[in-house]
Amino acid sequence: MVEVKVDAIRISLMGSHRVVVLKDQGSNRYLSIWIGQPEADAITIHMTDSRVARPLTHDLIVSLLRDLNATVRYVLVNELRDDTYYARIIIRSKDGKELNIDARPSDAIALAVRVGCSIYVDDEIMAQHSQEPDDDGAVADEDLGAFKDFLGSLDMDDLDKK
Amino acid sequence: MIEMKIESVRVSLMSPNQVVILKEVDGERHLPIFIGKTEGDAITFQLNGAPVPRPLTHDLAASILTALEATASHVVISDLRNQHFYAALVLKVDETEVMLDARPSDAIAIAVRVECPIFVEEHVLDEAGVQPAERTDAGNGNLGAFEDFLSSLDLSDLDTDK
Repeated sequence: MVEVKVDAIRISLMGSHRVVVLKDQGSNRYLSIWIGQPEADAITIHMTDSRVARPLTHDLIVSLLRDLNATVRYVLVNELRDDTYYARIIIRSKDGKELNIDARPSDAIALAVRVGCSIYVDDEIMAQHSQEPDDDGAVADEDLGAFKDFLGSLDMDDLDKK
Repeated sequence: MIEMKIESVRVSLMSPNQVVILKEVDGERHLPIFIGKTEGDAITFQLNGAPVPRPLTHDLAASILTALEATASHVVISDLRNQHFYAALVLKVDETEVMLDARPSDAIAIAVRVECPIFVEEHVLDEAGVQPAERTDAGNGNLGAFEDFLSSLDLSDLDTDK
């Protein structure tokens, strides 16, 4: 398991989805996971200390856990199947039992940032699907395919002509 | 406390919000509550039995309750202040009741999953409940635009062959 931190939430220009970018704590690798807008908002609102008038759904889950004397030990992005990431939430119950609950990564992360527990990603997933930015922080060339195609399609010769 | 059931979830044409309409189980008063789209969908999906590929946030809340062997005894719409409805998710923990502050939308979305009753405090229903006009007859007055359209049709030509 690789420990990660939430590095950024990004907005997709293609649709209503968001991307949560997780950064490896021990190296310069980043894993991007597409998530829904409400869950992205739930993560952002908490991380930016924005005040909300009423508890959001993830806040309710946190108070539910607290009142049942259960603690979230950690969350884990453990699988990628058919282009969908899966996560588990590891909870210790009042009587010390360890529970392993299926969740979307977005919900797991929204919960993790609230309770301050660690976020892990399976080694294999990190090895195969993370990206390493160049030294200057630019994204690797191959990821710019669509943009390069676009650039290549431009006829720059005409640019200065009237 | 007065027991309510979900009469419908409606979309608002004025905003991205939705309206959940609760109806007295033993009476005719209705209580409309504006809720967010995400929470409205969460209620509708569950009531329709719509299959979701991955657990939604309220499914997660319900599965955490199940995993911790906790029982939600009921939810209650408890107050109305500054045009905001307040609710509580009431858990039974070691024979005592624990009330968790929640938005009505979250409380209802969880109630339909754990199949617990939905109540409203009497003073809230007194203040915000509405008695529908004649149930079956929409009342001619409400059909204005439609009636104008109907009377503008020339039905005499309908059966004549060209």
